[in-house]
Amino acid sequence: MKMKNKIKYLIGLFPLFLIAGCQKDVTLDLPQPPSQICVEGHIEPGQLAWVYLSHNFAFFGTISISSIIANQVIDGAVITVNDGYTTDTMQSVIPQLGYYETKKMKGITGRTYNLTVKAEGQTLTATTNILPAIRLDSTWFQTQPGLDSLGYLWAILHDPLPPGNCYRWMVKRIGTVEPDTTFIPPFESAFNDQFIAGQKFEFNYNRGSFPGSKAKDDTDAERGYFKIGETCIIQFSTISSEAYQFYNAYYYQLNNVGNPFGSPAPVQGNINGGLGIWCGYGTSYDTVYCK
Amino acid sequence: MRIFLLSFIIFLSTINAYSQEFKVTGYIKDASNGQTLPGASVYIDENHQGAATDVNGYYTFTLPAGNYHLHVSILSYNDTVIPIKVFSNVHFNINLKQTSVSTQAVDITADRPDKNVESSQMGTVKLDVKDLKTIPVFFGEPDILKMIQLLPGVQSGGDANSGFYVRGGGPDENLILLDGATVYNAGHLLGFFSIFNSDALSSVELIKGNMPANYGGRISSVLNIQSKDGDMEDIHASGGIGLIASHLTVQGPIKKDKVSFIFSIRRTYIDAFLREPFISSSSPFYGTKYYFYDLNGKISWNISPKDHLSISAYYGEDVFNFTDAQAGFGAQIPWGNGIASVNWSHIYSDKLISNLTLDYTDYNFKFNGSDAGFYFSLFSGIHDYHLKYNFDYLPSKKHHIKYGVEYTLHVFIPSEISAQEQSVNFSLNSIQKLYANEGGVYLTDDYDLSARIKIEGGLRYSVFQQIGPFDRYIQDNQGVNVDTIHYKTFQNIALYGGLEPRISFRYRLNDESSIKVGYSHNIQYIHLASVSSVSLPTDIWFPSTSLVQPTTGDQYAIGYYRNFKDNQYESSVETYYKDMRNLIEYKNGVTPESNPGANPDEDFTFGSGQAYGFEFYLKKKSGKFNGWVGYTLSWTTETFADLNNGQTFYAKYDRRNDISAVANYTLNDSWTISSVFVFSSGEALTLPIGWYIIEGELVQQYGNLNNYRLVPYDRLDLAATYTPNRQKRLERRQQRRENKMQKEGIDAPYVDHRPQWRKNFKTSWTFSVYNVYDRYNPYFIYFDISGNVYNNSLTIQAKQVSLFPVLPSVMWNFEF
Repeated sequence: MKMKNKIKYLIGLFPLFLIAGCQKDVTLDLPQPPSQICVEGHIEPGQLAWVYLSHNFAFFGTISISSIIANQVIDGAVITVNDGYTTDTMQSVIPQLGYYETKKMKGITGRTYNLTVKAEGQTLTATTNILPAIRLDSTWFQTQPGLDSLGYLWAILHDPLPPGNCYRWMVKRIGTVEPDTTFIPPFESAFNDQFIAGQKFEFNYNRGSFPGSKAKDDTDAERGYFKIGETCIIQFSTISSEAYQFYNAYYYQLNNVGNPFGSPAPVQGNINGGLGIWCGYGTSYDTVYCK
Repeated sequence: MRIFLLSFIIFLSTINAYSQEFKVTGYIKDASNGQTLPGASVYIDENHQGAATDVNGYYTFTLPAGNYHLHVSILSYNDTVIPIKVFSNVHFNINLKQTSVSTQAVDITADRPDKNVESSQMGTVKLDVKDLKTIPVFFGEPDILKMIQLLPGVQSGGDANSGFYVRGGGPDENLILLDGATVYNAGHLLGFFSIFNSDALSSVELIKGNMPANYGGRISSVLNIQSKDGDMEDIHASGGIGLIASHLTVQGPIKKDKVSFIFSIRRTYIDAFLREPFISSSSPFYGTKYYFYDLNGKISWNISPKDHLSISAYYGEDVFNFTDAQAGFGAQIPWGNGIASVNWSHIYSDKLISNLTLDYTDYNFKFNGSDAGFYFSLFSGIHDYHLKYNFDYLPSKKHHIKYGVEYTLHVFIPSEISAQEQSVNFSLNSIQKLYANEGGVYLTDDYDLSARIKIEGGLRYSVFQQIGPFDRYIQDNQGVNVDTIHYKTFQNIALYGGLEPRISFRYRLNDESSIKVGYSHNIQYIHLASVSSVSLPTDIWFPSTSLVQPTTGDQYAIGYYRNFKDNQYESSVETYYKDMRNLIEYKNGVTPESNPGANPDEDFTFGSGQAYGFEFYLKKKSGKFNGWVGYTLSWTTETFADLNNGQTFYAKYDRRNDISAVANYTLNDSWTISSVFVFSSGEALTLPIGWYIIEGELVQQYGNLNNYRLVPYDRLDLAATYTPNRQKRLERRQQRRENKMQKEGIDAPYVDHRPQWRKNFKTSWTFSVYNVYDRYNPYFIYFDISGNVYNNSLTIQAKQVSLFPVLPSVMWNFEF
C-alpha cells in the first residue's frame, strides 16, 4: 500500500519549503557498530526454507557491491531449522552470496519453525510460523490511463474478520524476453487490514525490480510497469504481525532517508542476538496474463 | 478614685484599640482606564508586610491599628506611596498612573522589591507583557514562550519548536493555562510562533520549581497566562504591522465602569511570499498556502463591588494547503485550538474570596491528503470540560490559605482515520475515542511562622478514571485479535489516584538574603507520545489507561537568594533533583499505525528518568542599564527496559550547559536598545552507526539511543525601539498651525479640534536583527545518499539543516 508512506512523506514535506536553503555538509564521527550477523530467512508451504547470511558494516566507508560480497557475506555457518518434529541442517548453495537452503524440510501451513544460526562464535535464534493463506478474490491486468500497453496488476481482496491480518505481495514474470528468476516485491509490498478489516476492496501494485537491476525494462520508460503479453504469477501471502512490523519499518526507513522530520527508524527484527527477519509466508498464487 | 477609674478605663480602651487588628483591602487600578492590575506589589513600609494583588487586582492585609504607608508598585506604572490610618476595617482602591514606555526597563518581575528573598515559593517568575516589545524577537513578533526560555532552568526546544523543557522535563510536562483553561499545543507553524498574542495578555507567571497544591496534572511546571480585561473608561486600539504578521487590539467600555470588552486579532501573510518573485512558478512549493491567525475576546463585568465576572475566548488556526499538480497529490493540514472560559470571583468577606472557573478546550489536528484518486483524512483531537472552584482564606496576617476542588472531563481522539479510493470507503476500526475523568482537591497554607521562617505547605489529592465506552482488543502472540472486552458508557476501566504533598520553606538570614528548601510530589495522568524527534502536531496526547500508568515526579530543590544595593540587584543559586517514573515512549521500531487491530496503548513502553542541575541567576532590575544573566548546568537521563537494551541513556532534553543573557539600555527618552544572547550545549539525537542488507537494499542500523550530540547552539539578537516623543510632536504641530495662521493673518490661538483618539495616537518602531552573526545553528542532521551500491557509485554525505540565518525585521506599533 503506497498511501501510508505517501502521507508520511507529505507530512514531512510540509516544512521543507522553509529549510530548503539552509543546509551544509558536515563530517560526523560516528561510533563503529559492533560486529553483528544479519539473517534474511523465508519459509513457505511446499518449498525449501532459505536464508541469506551477512555482516553489518560501518556507516561511512567504502560501500560497494563488490566489497559487500568480498567482506560481508558469511559462508560456513551451521544453520538448523526445527519444526517440532524434525530438524534439518541447511546447506550452503551459493557461498559467494551467503545463501543457504534446507536439504529436505519444506514448509507446512500451521507449523512453527525455529531457526538456529551458529557462525563466527555467535549463536542466533528466531521463530516464525506459517499462517493459513487468504486468497485474492480476483486478479487482472489493466493499462494505466494514457498508456496503451503498460499498466499495473489489480486485485480484489475480501479481508476476513477478526482484524489483524497482514499481507505481502510479490510477482514473478514468466514467458517474457527476460523472465524473473524469483518473486520480486514492489515497494511497500507489505500491508495490514487496519483500514479494510472485514471489507472487500480493490487495489493495485506496480512492478518491483531488483535493487541495482540493469535490465532494460528496469531502466527505461517501462520501469515499474507490466506489459501486454507478459504472464505474471502473483504470490499473495499472509504474514505475522511481527513480520509486518519489520517490513513496514523497513519500507518506512527506505522512504524517509533524508527526511529530517522522520523519526529514527530502527527496523526491529525477530532475530535474537542479531539483525534481520525469519519469516513464514502463508502463500497463495494467481496467474495473470496481461492483455 | 473615680477619676483614676475613668482614666484606667480610657487607658484600657486605648490599649484595646491599639491591640485590635483590622482588615485593609481594595483594588489597584489603572488611573487612565479603570483596569484592575493583577500582580501589583503592595508593601507596608512599617512592618515589611507585603502582598501581590490577585488575578482581579485585589489586595488584603491584616494590620494592627496605627498609621502606615502603603507602597504600591508595578512595572510600567509610577510607584505610589499612600499614607493610611487604620483604626477600623478599611477598603479603598488605589489608582496608578502609567509611566512612558521609553523610560521603562525590561523586567521580569512585578512583585515587591525583595519578593525573591521574602517569598517561600521557589522558581516562580512573573513576566511583564508590556515590555515584550523591546526584546529582540523572531521577525519582530513578541513571543511569551520565547521569553520564558531566556530564564535559567527553562530550555528551548530549538528554533522551530514552541515546546520548552523545564528542569529536564518533556514539553508535555508543562501545564499551560490561558484564563484557567488548558492549552495543549501552544505553537503555530511548528513552533516558530506561539499562539499567544501578547497584545491580549495581562499577566504571565511561570512556576518552574515546586508548584503549590492548587496546581496539578503535570510534573514539571505551570505557565499561567491571564488575558487582559477591556478598558472600563474609554475605547482604545493598538496594533502592529510587521514583515510577516500584523495584529490589532480594540477595547473599551460597553457600560462605563461596569462592563468592558477587548478583542484582538493577529494574522500572518507568509503565503504572500510563497509566490513570485520570492518563489519561482516552476517550484513545487509555488502557490503553497500557509497562514495562521489568532482571535482573542473577553467581556468583563463588575457585577457589584463584591462580584466580578469575565467571559473569555480564544480561537486560532493554522491553515496549510499544498498541491503538486505534476505529481498528482495534495495535502491540507489545518490545526488549531479553541478555548472558552468563564470566571466568577466573589468577595465573601475581608477574609474570604472565591474564584469559580468553567472552561472548555478544543484542540484538533487534521490532515487531508489526496493522491491520484485516493483520498485520506486523519483527525486527532482533545476536548476538555473543566471546572475549578478556588477559595482564598486569610484568617490572620500570618496565614494565607487556599483550598478548592477541580474536575475535568477529557475526551481524546488519539487518531481517527478515514480513507476513500474511488468508491470504496475504508473503516475506522480500532481507532476510537477515549474518555476520562480527572479531579483534585487541595489545601495549601502560606504561613509566617516567624519573621525569619515562612512555610508554604500543601496537600493535593488527585484522581483519574478512564471510563467507557471503550473496546479493549485482546491479541495473541501473532498480533491477531482473539477477543474484545467492551466497556459500556461510564463504566470504570482504570482508576488511579494519590496524594501529592508540596512543601517549601524559607529561612530569612537577614534583610537581603534567604535560604529556601522545597519538595513536591506530582502525578501526571495524560501524556504526549511523540513519533518524530521534533515536536509536530502529529504527536499524540494520550490518557492513562489500564495499560498506561500515570507518570509521577518527585522534585527536591534548595536555593540561596541574595539581593544587593537595596534590592536593585537580585541573585539566586538553586540546585534541584527530580526523579520521574512511568515515562512513556513508543516501543522500538513501532509507529502509530504499525500494530493492526490493536489498541494504540499497546505500542507504548515505560521507564524512568532522573534530572538534576544547578541554576545561577543575576538580575539588575532598574536603571538605564538593566537585564539579567542565567546559567544552568544540568543532566537528564532515562532508563527503559525495552529501549536501548535496558541501558540508561541521555534524554532528548539533556543539555549540559545553558546560558541566557539579556541587556537593555535606555539611551534617551526616545531610544532603547536591547540584546539577547543564548548558548546551549548540543541536543542529543539518535543517528545510524552502520548498514546491513535486506532484499538487496541497504538498511540503516541504529546504535544506542541519543548516541550523538549536535554542535552547540548560540545566537545573538539585537533590537532598537524608537518611541517618538508625543508631547514634543504635539507642540511642534501646534507651532506649525499657529505659524500658518499668522501667515494667513489670523490672530487667534490655534485650537486642536481633532477627535481625542487622534490626539492620543502613539507610535513606536522596533528594529531588530535575529541571529546577528548569522550562525547556522543545527536544527537537524540527515544523510544525503546518492548513487547506487550496485554500480559502486554510492556516496553518503551528512547534512546539517539550519533554519534561520540573520533575519532583520521592522515592526511599526501604534496605540490610541
